[in-house]
Amino acid sequence: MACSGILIINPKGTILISRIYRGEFSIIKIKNFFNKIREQENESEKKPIIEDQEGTSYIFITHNSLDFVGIAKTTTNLNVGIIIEFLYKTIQVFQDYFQIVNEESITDNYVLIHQLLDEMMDFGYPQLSESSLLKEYISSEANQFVESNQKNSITTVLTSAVSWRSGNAIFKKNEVYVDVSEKLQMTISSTGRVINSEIIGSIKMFPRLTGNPTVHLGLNDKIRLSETLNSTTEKSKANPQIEFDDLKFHPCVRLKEFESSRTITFIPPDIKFELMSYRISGKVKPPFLVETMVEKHPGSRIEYLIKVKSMFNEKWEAKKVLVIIPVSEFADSPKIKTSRGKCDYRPDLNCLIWFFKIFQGKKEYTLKAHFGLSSFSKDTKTKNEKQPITIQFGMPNHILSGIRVEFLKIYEKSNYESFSWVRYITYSPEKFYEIRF
Amino acid sequence: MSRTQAEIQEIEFSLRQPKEIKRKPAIKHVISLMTAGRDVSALFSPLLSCLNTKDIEIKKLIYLYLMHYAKSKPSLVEQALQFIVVDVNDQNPLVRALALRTMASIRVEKFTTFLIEPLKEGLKDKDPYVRKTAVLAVAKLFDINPELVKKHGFVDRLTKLLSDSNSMVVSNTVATLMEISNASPEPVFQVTKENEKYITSAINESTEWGQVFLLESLMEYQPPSPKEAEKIIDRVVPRLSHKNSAVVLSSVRLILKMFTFIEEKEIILQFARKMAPSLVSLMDNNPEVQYVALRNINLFVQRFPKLLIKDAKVFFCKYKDPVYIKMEKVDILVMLATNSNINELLIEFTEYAKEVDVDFVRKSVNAIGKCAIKLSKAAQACVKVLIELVKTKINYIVQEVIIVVRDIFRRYPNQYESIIGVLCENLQSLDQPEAKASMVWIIGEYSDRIDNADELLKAFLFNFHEEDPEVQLQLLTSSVKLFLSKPDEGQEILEQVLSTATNESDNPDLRDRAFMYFRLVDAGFEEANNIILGEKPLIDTISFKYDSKLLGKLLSQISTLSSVFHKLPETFISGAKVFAQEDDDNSNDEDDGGILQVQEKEKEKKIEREKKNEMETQQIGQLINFADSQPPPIVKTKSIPQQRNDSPDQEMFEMEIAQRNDEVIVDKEEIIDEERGKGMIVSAAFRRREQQIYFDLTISNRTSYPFGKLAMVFNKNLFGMKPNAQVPITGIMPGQTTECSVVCPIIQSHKLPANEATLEVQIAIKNFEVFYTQCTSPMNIFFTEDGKIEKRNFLNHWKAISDDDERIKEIQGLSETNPDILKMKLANLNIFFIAKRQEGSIDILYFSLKLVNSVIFLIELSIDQENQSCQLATRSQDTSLIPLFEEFMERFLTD
Repeated sequence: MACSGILIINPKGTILISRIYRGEFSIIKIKNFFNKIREQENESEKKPIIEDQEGTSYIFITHNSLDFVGIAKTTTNLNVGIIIEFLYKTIQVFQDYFQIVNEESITDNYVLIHQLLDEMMDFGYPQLSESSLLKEYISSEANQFVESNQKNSITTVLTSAVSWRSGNAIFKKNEVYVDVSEKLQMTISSTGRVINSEIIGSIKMFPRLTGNPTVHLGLNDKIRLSETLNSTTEKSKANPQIEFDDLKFHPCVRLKEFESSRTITFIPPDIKFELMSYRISGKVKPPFLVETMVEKHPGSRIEYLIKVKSMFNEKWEAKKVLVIIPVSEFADSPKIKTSRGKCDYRPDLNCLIWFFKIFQGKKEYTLKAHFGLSSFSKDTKTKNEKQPITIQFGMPNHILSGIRVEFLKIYEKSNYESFSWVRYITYSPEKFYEIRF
Repeated sequence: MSRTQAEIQEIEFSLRQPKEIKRKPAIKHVISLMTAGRDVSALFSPLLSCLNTKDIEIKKLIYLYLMHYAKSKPSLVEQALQFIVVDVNDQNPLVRALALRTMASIRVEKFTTFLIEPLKEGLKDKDPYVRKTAVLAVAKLFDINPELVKKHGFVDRLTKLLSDSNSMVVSNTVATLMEISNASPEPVFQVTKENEKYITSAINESTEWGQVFLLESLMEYQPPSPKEAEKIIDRVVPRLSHKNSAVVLSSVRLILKMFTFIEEKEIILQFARKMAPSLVSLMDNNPEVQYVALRNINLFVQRFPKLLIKDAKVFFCKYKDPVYIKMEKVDILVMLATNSNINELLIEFTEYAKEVDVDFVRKSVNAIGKCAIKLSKAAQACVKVLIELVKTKINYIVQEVIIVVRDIFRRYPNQYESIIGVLCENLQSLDQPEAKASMVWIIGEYSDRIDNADELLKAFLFNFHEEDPEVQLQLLTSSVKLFLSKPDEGQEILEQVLSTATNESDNPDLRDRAFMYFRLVDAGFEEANNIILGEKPLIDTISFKYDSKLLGKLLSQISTLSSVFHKLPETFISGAKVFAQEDDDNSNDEDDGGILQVQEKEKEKKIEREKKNEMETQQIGQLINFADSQPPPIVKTKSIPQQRNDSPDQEMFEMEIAQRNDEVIVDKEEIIDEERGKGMIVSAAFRRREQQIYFDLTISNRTSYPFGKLAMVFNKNLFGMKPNAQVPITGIMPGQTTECSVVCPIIQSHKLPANEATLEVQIAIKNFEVFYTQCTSPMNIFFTEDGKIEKRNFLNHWKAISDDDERIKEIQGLSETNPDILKMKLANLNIFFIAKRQEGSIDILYFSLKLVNSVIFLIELSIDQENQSCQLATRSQDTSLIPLFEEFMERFLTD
């Protein structure tokens, strides 16, 4: 079940880091095999878990065009789930240490990375992976020598039940920042019908609290899993409730307590962290709709007429709205007109990017674009033809599901005063809001 | 070069600085160079002198250096031992742990011996961090030298740590014990009721990784009652909300395992409903996690087909999804298709069919076809969509449609023929054999309704010789069908095809079939009509599901490689349990396992030789009806020479395979020698692996010209083995030797009547001329992997067979009487041990096995230890095969 080693490989196929925990591997063979995987042209075969003929399995993820690879001899039935999670966790820890994880930062931090990998995994078994704790005794700066008695406590902290907090933190002002965000994933058909929508909510916290505080968080609605709601008897009609399809909590949340009393109780870690995430797949009204008309004259020109409508309340506004319209790769000499917003043609990405700083509710804007088409375009089916229009946006102070933080209580031995700040945002990141052509 | 040396010298100078603070950057520099792959071993002694420090970071870096060079420069590293031994007793727990971790990671013998005592201390250390490190150091020690772990009783020491107050110690302990147990021939650790308490209570406080180890160990737990299993599930259910997908999947896996102890379906369903949303939520993850999740959800849906139907939308493909994810999603969507959501799904599939990736488009088209077969009410709608797709005239879409339409016709005969016209308009674009064969099948099947069927077929016949065998066979069949339904138009075509197939083709399958049709048509129009155009069985709708046994096994592997590949662990994991320790340390190759294997192999070889002697006395009886217009030359088998080319290399190679697959490898026998084969030598053997029968061939060309395509047929044989493909070898050059394997599935129609029971298989191999020979199929290849009968059912089975159906045979002169070894050896043959009892000096063992024709043998083996003899009692519903089995067992046991 254990992983044999972790490798980090750059796009050229050079192995930047190889930490082998067990067994013997020929690095050259691994390198050759891995390069073969990369050359695989068949898209459907580019799977993240691959076994070579000599009984070695490769599990890899890509970050900033670096491949993070877990390798293992297939002598046992490896738990791949744990390895993928560990690789992602490794990247996260690296980010906590040196922000950007790329080839440059990796080579700059060889020594640090070795120390981290040594502590995070032992003999192929993941051990500690909370950067807040690792930072307690592995630091990137020149390490000051600390007397051993002082350090004594750290080992107990490292392995304690509350493995995410050292309890040593002291703040002048005790504050908690809470970010409630909802990421909207939506697919809309060319006729404006919602094919699929999903809200992925997340409550993130940045506690700046002294000591070992216990926090109770109350939300405006009693959280209910849709599973219980399915039995019709329990459905309360008076109080419309938010139907969560699923909930996930940070390991610090006392799940048992939540199961019994439905309040979220926890001792928070000392860093910014995600307290809980949830998923709602019920019907959501689409905030934006797009109408498209494309007139294609193969070999001569192509014309686009795009209408974007905001469907939400006129009191609200969306910020930094990007409408990305894919354009035929044979298009050239653009002529673009918009009724509002700025529009750029990006030949490198084969698309038009239509940008609004602010997009108010219940508004409608149009874009007209005219391109020349080179004669190649006649018979070829191009990649862009079926690519959907996507919209990115953020709606601060607005939450689609209507969830709200009702109270936040903090208990600590010293009984200090504390403040909490809550922000709300709904957003849809790159490629999450699709409107099919 | 000189620059490098200068750099090294510079570092060395810094390392020898008196002040530590100045030495530190130099040490870091060394590690950086080492990581970049530079040789810095020259700096060993100056580095070693830096080890005398209180700075833990410096220690860590130097230890890292030691571990790096431990393999290539063990003698150098030994010098460091004195420092590490001191550190093991350091005041600072971090240093103690670090020293233990390093010592155990250095695979140098001296270190290992010095490790034992500190390790014992480490397991008792007051600091949990040291304990948790020491626990894993035991796993490392076991990896280097399992004997030492046994000798010093580390397993007992570990077992005590299960009740440790620190959850991290507990989870590492569990992981180590599991690892040791899995790699030992006998389980050294079992989750008892008491252990289970410690393990479940540690879960709540563990790190996410620790939780996975703990959950995984509970997979081994056998709850004493269904209530107990429910209790476990109750404790695990909260884990389903964990953020870490590995924890979620491991929980699902454990819950599914516990289901096997619960009989009430309602309870199972109730818990399964709790799992569904957690599984769906895994789709909000990174693509790699999604991929693992999808492969596992696929299994879950097969087990609980209804639970995820309402979530079908989650599996709609997004444009940004990687193709490998889209492919998996489509599979799941087909499984979730119902009459109520099919319209929505069809819109989706049609949308996908317009994308660019060819594989994905074909998959989507195929999915529409599968839905049509699955949902009879929606078939009409599906077919409509398919017709629309054909109109796109995109080559690969049309071909895929043709392939699925054939299956739709076979499911709903005479219902959707209107589509034929549309398909016929698009015949020019076909270039894939499967699509061509499908189209030809359709034309033949509906030749009475297609006006210009003869013209269409003619178009395909134009290139008859270049077509794939699949297409050729189909053309042959369809010509016959055409002739039968429209004799006037079809006669000319049929004559042409039959003559080409019999006179010009070198494919024996094709010729065989051509002759068969020829005789059939000759025998009478009516009979031929009844046989060829008779009603065919409908294809079933569950072809895209695994059988429940396999599914159950896969579900107990959730989150592992096995569940991602959808293969059982034993089919791809190298190294059986007994040989597991081999993977790292090849130096102690000669452990018991290896020797045993060699002995076994020797015996196996002897059996083979004996069989061969027998064969010499036999001659081929019936000949295969290869060609009747030109009667084949009667070839009498000559005695087969004893000479064999047992080159040591080959043996080594085969041994490796034997160990890896944990199966009995039978040597190949030379079935055609150089003289008879006129320069072609063929050695072959029947072997069973991956639940299939393979016919492994080695073919040497000793002639002076290259061989073309080889063809091979089997005569009817006892169980009906028939090679499912041609010999996949073409063009063996002079002097060249090639190996290949052909899968031989069991075909009912290829069976001999039981009264002619013999294990000889008559084979014809065609090169430039046809060679007739035979090969013995060892009986054990017909024993299937699922022949194990549950202990409690065994007695019932035994009683159900009357005493008259029991055969008893005395066997003298056993070569092996140790029941444990026998058990193991027989298990390799798929003869499964059930139970054992003892009566005085007689050991009575019970076994079961299942033959490929589903006949079950129940075996009672009474071994008389004193006389080295035994009594073999075999019971079966079908006694006709028992004599063969007894013969087989006698040879196996006495050799």
